Amino acid sequence: MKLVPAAGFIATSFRTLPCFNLVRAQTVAEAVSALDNSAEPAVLAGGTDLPARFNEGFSPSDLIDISRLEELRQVRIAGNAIEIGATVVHAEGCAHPLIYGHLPSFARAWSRIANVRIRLSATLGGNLMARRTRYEGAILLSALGARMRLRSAAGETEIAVEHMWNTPLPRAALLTAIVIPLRKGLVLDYARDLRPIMTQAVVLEDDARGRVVSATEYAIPRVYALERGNAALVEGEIELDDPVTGASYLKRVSATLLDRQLKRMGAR
Amino acid sequence: MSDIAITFELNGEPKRAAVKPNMLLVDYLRDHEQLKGAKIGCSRGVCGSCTVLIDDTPVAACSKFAFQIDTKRVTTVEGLANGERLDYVQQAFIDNAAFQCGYCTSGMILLTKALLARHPDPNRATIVEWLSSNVCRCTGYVQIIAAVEDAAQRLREASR
Repeated sequence: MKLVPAAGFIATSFRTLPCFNLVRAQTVAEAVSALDNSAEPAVLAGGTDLPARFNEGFSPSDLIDISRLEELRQVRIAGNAIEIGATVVHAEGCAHPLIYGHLPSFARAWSRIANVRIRLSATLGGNLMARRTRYEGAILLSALGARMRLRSAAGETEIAVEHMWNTPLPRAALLTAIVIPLRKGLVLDYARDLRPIMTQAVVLEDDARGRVVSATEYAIPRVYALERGNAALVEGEIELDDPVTGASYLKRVSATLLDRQLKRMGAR
Repeated sequence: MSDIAITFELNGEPKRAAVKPNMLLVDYLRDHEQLKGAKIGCSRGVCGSCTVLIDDTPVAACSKFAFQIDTKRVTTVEGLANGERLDYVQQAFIDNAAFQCGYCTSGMILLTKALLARHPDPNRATIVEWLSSNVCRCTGYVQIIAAVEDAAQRLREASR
């Protein structure tokens, strides 16, 4: 038993959620303002990750609900990029005509992440902002060279998805969109059959350049440049390690997966 | 924390309630509506034993706050039967012995309702993909898949 303010003695349960102030934002500006004014904010969109974080001990002072902001649910082409609103739900995003039309291999890969129930509720922005290495959004988007567009009281800024793990985000920033550059002839292959040991995305472009993103359940995804068909580069540079699997095994798994993926892509 | 007034539809009936912001939907359903069909399992949105339908979309009620059902339509397993007459998915689960301990069953049934609403004639791969959203710790998946195939057959026959 433990004493909870306003609730008295209750059973010690991992379902006991902390008290917080709820802000149901009606506009992006209102959400940004609420973030700026909060001591310990949390943002609610799809909501599939947040209760788990509460159970892990997260105790925000304010919960800012952005789930009804239509502005963040848009997909559009802007210049030579596609912009996906932060609260676009996975199932809607991967079936969106603009995304399927411009990035069909990404749309197919996106349609396979997590599971059906999660895909019907969870958002792409939430997948990134949860900052969990086992979540798949960062793997796919890093391979595509995508950027996160963040808005705070100080203004708007962009951070490459691959750098989000090691770059401090602006204080009280709201992720508003994910920006994917459109490149000619881009194809993506996604291998998730060996999850959680390894998940790997490979992107090849028309000009023979490419990227490989290798990730495990417990390690930050690693991004490698790839010349078309060159697996040796990856094998030599693999630095993945995690406390469960070990570096030498991960190196072999990554190289084997890459070989299969390049064959599927017709590059080997 | 002040209460939040919400209006919603629960199993076909209009409802009003006042809920604390930090109240989970599964707790609201079980403790305030006495609807015990949604089971508490992992409390992390993983196992799916607390699955309910919100606007016909399957969600883990342990991962939703109660205030999030404001203006929505909620269906729990208790809302499927018509009086004494079970829903065709429930009947298919019984006829195929698609449960052992039964803890996952209400979630599986609601997941199946959502699946068949979107894919009235699902192939086995689609069924397996959908069912992989939820966990049966008794590992009775063979019978559960058979029940879903049976339910799909009943749906097709009913629509002829």
